[in-house]
Amino acid sequence: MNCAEFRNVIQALAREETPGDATLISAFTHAESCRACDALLREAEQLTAELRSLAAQIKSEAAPARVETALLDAFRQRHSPAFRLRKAGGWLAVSAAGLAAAALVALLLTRYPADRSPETPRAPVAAPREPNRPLGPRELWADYAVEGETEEEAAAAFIPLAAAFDPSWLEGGAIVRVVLSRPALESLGVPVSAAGNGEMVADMVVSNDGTPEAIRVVDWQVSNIQ
Amino acid sequence: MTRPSQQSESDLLRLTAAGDEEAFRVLYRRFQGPVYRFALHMGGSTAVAEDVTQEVFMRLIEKRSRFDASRGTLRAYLIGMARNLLLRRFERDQRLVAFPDADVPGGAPASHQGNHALPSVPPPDPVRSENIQRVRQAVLSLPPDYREAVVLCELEELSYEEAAGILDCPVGTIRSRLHRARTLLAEKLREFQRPGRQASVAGSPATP
Repeated sequence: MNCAEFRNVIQALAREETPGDATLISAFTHAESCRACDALLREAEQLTAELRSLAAQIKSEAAPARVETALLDAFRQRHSPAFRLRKAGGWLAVSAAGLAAAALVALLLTRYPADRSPETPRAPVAAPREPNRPLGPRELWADYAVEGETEEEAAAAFIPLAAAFDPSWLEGGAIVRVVLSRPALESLGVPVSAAGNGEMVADMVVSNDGTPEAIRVVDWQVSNIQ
Repeated sequence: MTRPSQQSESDLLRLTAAGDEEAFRVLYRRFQGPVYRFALHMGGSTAVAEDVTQEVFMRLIEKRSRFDASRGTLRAYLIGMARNLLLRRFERDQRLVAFPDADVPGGAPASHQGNHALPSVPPPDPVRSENIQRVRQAVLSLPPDYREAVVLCELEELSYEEAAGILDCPVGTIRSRLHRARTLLAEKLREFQRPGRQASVAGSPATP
């Protein structure tokens, strides 16, 4: 082994790796006969020792306690019932948007046959309120009535879906029309009578982030709302 | 029933995903150290290291991680995630230099260090302590590719295979980078020992 070959394996030797018996014997034989290479080997071994000391010393270095605190807060929030509800609501909104698109197409096809003009006047749905009377939880959503409802429709006030709702969240939100089964409506907390198993048309208020905020049943089924 | 502290990595991950806070706490305490130290040595700042550590574990909370036990250890996976976050930071924010700043323990004194770094326990032997800090400064002044190899294989004591998995390169590349890095370290330390050259050990900032 010459000096160049020795320097190729010197770091492996210093790290106590075993490049093979033959190489090991050859390297140490060279180091015994070459003072410069022997000095380099000692230097590399010293470096190994110092790096190990450094590794041992920094073992206790850790993220500050505030990082753990913040993460645990986030963890608790993530797994809170309220978060799960909102997340489930988000998925529901996505599904509802798809359903709404299908429902709108179906409604347009059934309500506007080819020989009927779409300019038919529409009657407002939300009934005027007495001035200065405090709003009930359902009435609060009445202002979000869908424009363009037909005179055949009747609708109740919106029922909030979120536990703590704020109509100001709805800036930029949307109202989508959906067709939902009774069990689906019941799962959203909309009280419906047990009679019948058919689907029901509903308007859903969806906030900017896709979270459903409120719902109301429209059409003849409104009579079933308690 | 097995206590969370005795659970395997996979079990802890599964329990964490299911909302078990204690499992997450155990997972965090087991792996935050290597993640934080890697981010500290590569990011050069305790603030960056904190952010990166938090982000890595937030991804676990938010189930945005795709750990596959057949591809390596969880420790390697989390460090790899930290590395990706750091690289993204470097790309986004060119002012970040992967170089020691005053925040890094052992670096220059900083008045705000107490807010960002754990208090380092002074070793009993001041000479030995000085040597260790000298080595640390030399490590921090290495070019990033070499520094990664040293931090992973020497300071975190990962195998070549684990380091190769994190850096997404062949084992031979790790071996050669480490060899080159150690040669550079030896040169820097030798230079440091020369009279009147101590200030140059840290070298110029090593940007990624």
